[in-house]
Amino acid sequence: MADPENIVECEDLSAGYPGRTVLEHVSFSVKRGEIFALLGGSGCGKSTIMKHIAGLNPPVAGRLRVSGIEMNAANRDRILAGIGVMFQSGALFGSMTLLENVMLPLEEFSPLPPELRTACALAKLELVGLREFAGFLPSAISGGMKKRAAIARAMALDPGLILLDEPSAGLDPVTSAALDDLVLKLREERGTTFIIVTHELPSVFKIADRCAIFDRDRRGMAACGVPAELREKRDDPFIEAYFNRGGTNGR
Amino acid sequence: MRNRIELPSVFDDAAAAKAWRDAKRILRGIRPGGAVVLDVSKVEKASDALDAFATVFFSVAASHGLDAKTVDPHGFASAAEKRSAERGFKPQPRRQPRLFEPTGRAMYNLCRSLADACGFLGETVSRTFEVLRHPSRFRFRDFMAAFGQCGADGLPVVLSTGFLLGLILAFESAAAMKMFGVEIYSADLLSIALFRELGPLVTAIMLVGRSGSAFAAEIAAMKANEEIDALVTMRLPPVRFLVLPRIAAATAVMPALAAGAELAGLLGGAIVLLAMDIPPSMYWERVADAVSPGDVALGLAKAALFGLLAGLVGCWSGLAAEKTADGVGGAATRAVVGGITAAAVADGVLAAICWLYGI
Repeated sequence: MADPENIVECEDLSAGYPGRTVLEHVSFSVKRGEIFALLGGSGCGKSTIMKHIAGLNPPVAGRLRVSGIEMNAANRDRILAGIGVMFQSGALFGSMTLLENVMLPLEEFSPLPPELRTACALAKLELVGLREFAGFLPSAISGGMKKRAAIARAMALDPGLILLDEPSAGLDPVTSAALDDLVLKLREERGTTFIIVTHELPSVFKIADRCAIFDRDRRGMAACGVPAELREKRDDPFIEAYFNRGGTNGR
Repeated sequence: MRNRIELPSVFDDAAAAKAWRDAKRILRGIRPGGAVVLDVSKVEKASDALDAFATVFFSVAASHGLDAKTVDPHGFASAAEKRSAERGFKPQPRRQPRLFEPTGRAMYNLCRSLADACGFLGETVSRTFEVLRHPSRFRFRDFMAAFGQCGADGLPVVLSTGFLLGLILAFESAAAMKMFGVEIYSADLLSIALFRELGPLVTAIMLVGRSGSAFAAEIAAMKANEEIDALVTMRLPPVRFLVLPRIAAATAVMPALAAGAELAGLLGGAIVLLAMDIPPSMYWERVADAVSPGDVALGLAKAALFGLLAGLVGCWSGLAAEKTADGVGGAATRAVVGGITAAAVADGVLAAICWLYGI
């Protein structure tokens, strides 16, 4: 049964691509307002799960509900109306300025008149600290700024759920920490739910309420729970090894 | 002992190369079921080549069905021997002649890409109707950018190609006709050929090379950079966003470009005939006589069709590309080859239709 408290529910989900299953029997749910991290080694399938939630690939098998709606081709656009996605590279459109990038979803879907749209897009850029760079092209700003601009674009229509694909990848620790603070601030102020694919354990311990860890060898989910509690678990060598590697950083 | 491979005391890469030549000869001479010994006892100093040598030695011995042993007091080859023992002896499966699998796979891939292309075509048509119903959904700014890229940027190269085409065609035909004293008729030949066939076709080839490939590379690079995925997650259909403005621009710009190429070609012809002492007024009179408004309209309609095809093939190549740097290059290549082929095939079909209906 769909629980209205849950924004994402996976039941016995098999993740992968046509002809290649990466993960099997994955079940977890993400509550509204939660910051949920997807963890695991490279190639374990966490980004694949995120792509399923973002409606880019259909799951191989099992059920996936977002905001209580079953994910399938017919419902995809309805679900995507409530989701914002930040891709690993930022995926900003290179021929458009940051402002135009953030304006794009507003132009297409917002009932706001044009002059208010611009102000609204500028407000989003202000929120991520990029208002003075509104007229810049993505090629003229740094990697961290691109990611922040991508978050501003993902937030353009105030979605209830934002997916972040490796927000810290390639960023220095200070910029990475600033992104963490931004996520916490947005959750605090707007109650936005975040699902974050990451390798950055310090960030997980700092911001994630819960996390799911995927194991490539067993092609499934190794554990799901509060990061600090999972770190103390000693009954699963994979989880112990996973957290110990970064444990000293995380503490 | 004959079936013994002895390695020298200093086993570096050069020694390995020589030892392997000898070893291959020895291994080849032993019947299946026989024994072979790799003697490493004399080795005092060895590079990584020894491990590689021993690994390959065990693997070849196993595949020949030989009982391979080592004399290895210092353990130089022990890692390789252990790996080989863990793998166990696996006879090489006999290679079946493969005929059906590659054929089937090729057919499957062909059918799949055809189905995908049909899907793309269908979506393009349906998005076109959507934009016709709601013109505000058309990305006019992207259309203007693509129009400028295809048109203004491409005009110099199209004009110069057209001019040279007219020059060469007039020269070659006039040189032959001069023998019969009818070189003035090369104006007829030139104008009909340019307006009906060569103008649109050559312009299409230039457009495919310049803009079709650029469309493909741009879209493929966007795909590699996850921008297409970003569009999808923002509920913005990539076909409406990226494809329609580009194909509309290519279709709209082609008649103008072709007309430019045709006029430049006529100018080239005029210069050649002027050099053959034919007054320009007579030349232009022949051109006006030879070409009917129907020929001009046919040529321009063809040009628009070729533009549409160049845009479609270019955009499709980009959308179907792999998400890698290689994918971008491959998409551009496919756009050029596919675009020129499509234009040539369409030209052939149109020529047949015109002939059938006497147009």
